[in-house]
Amino acid sequence: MSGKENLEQKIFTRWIETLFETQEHEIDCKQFQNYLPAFVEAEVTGERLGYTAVLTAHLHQCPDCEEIYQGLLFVVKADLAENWSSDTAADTAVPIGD
Amino acid sequence: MVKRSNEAWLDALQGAGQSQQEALLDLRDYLVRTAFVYLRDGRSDLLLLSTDTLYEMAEDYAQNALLAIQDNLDKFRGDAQFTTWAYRFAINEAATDLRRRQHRDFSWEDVAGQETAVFASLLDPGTGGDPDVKAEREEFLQLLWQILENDLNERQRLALLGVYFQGRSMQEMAEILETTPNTLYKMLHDARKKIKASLLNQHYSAGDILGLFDAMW
Repeated sequence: MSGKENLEQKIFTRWIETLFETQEHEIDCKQFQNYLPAFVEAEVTGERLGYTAVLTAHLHQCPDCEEIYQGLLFVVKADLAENWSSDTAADTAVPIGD
Repeated sequence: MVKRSNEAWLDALQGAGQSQQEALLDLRDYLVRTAFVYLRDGRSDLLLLSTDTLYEMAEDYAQNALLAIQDNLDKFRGDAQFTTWAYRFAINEAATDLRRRQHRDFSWEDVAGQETAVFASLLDPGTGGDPDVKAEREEFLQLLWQILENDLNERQRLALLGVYFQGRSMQEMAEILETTPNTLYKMLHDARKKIKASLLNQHYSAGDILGLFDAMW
């Protein structure tokens, strides 16, 4: 199978999966963004929120919100690991500006 | 950087004077770090950019995020750390700008071409295989074409092809259609519901459909 066919297979497979994952009622991007910070914190702590399924359904359908979710999850984990509010962490990751 | 409770952040930022200025400076530091760490370590597409360039970008995103946060303080729900809520603005600024930089020229012909390529690859004319299965595939694809043509309006069809077949972002496709990503999401949701209902009405499940094409792949 060529790379092009492989890409077309992926596009088709993902599209069919996406279609059948469609829920009668889904939250929109604005609603998703409102719940996102708590959702990401719950993800980090392993907590399951009452509305996790609704948010996950939106994530599977929206590439832009998925990107924001992944980015926020990444920096929240980095914050936890490096403890950004501590003095010792202040100069380790960010170059001195100006 | 100073650690504050959610209430302390809000009090300081909504207040005035020196405590507000200190909070703004601290928040800006958090946001620059957020944007910088995201750009440097969280984005594989920026590996070729220098640290200085990434830092300059991070400062710009942080500044824009800071303004947006000040405009939206009354919308903080208090169900997460204030800093997590604030980081979201920095990530949004960065991701939105980076998406915009990746926008491609758009033409109907490109979208139609991509759609044709995907569907043509599913017809599999070059290989052998069970003729009955091939006939079933053709029957399914014909149904799918009919659904796309008859059940969706032109904007829905365009949105669906742009996002799912061409991999464009919601933001990019929303700008092409001169709408907002939020409205585009609702438009796509409506389109997905219609296609799903039509397929279920014809007794197709996702497993049935993917199973039809499994042997080709």
